Amino acid sequence: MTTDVKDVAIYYDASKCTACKGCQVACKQWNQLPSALSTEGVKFNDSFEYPPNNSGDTWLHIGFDEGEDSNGDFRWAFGRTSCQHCTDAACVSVCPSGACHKTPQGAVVIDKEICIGCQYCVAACPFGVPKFRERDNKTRKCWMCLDRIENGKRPACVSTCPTGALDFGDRYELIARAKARVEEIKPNKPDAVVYGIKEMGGLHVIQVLPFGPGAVGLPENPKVSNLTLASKYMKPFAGIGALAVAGFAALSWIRGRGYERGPEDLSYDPKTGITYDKGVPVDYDKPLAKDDTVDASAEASEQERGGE
Amino acid sequence: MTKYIKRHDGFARANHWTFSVGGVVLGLTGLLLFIPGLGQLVGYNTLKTATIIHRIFAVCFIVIPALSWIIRPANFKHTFHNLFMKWDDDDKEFMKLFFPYMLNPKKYHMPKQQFVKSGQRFSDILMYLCIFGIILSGILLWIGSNIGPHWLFEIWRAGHDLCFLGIAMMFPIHIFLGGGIFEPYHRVARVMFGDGLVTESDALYHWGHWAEEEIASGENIVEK
Repeated sequence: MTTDVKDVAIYYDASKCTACKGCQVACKQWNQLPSALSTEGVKFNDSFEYPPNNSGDTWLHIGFDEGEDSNGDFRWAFGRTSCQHCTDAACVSVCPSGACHKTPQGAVVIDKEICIGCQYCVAACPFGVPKFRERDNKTRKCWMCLDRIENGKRPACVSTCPTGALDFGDRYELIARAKARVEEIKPNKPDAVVYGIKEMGGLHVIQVLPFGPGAVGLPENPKVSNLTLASKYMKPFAGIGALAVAGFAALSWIRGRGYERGPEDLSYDPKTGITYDKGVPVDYDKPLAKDDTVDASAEASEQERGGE
Repeated sequence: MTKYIKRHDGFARANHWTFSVGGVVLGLTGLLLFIPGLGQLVGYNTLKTATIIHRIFAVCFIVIPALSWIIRPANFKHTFHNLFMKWDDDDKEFMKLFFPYMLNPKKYHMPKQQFVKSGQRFSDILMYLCIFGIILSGILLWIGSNIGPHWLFEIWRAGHDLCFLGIAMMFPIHIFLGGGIFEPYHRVARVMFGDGLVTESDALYHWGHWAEEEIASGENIVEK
């Protein structure tokens, strides 16, 4: 593998996974991610799952789910919670600093040096993958071991898998392999699917899921949430709105030019309750004010002169 | 000698400007987060500094008005009394004529108004709602995404954006009118930019009912 590699993917065949969590450990080792060294508030629940979820220090998490398959038979589903490296990544579209970006290989990476810890990506991801790490105020997640793949190696998780459930390579070749594998296991695993071909514009983690995505907590049809979309469309709307308001104000300013009213034009007599404009009573019921009062004032002066 | 009416004292003006400066700084620094391209354009260091400034001013934005209301509870009462006072026929007529007037101020004579015009009362209610929303969502965003489900954090974020949008829409009009850029409002700027006084004539033009009450009572009249 060389640095010019394009459109690569991680392959995960859950039907071959024994949930040994070697990948989870390898990820931590290579990326120097500490263990929480506590139960993180999790009480004993007779699950092999630990820690309970992915976090800023656990970028790959193997989940266990006990249940029944569509035939009513017992099934034990293992799932991999880690970045799916979406083609249409919601996290990239909301990142204000550009820390969250796509690489030519198809990986979605958070550059920790320029992450400002706003956590917008945390909220936008339909898979709940990026997590905020309070110890350094940064959001962290799997980065496909970019340092390794740029140097011709496979991601740490892949390199350690003892059963061949994980692999790494050209995305299209892995899709073909996953499809063939699903065909192979379909007679015994009727719910088996390939996950990652079209979801979010195509994922860069291609998964064989013998019990379907729901069994391992993956959304059937992941999409950018309506709120993220609304925020996205709110921005041009804000621009158009601000321009419209400014345009209205500009038009109003033009129409208001030349308006004159002296600082002592209006006065009020509290005894009579009458407001005067240059000595002429103001008739508030008349819509025409300025022009009208000017005329009325002239008329009044005319009458006064006539009277004299 | 020109007759003036006292409209805003120094305390109210100081409060207004503290709130305004805080709001502008919050708006400008928030804009870098609101528009991702803008944040990326200014670079990491500026953006990171902006987020810190944003938080410092957010605290001032909450604490200073809150303190002012604690120091002078009457101001709080006065503000909310004005906001929610019953609308009379003049208030409704004012709203009806607002846009025609803005486009042809030489033609329309606006009906008499109370201390706060009905149009401003309407926009103030929206403004206060947006400010309340932006403060609440801002605090929750600050607390972070590790508390509660992610969709909740997303609601706060969208709410913060929406409230910002609302304020951003109302702000230019407030500047245009309150800053006296619109010629019929020319001398109104004095009530906040100047000594807080308004001439009897201007008071009658803008807030007829209030001006009549003040002139009749004579308590806040100054001649100079």
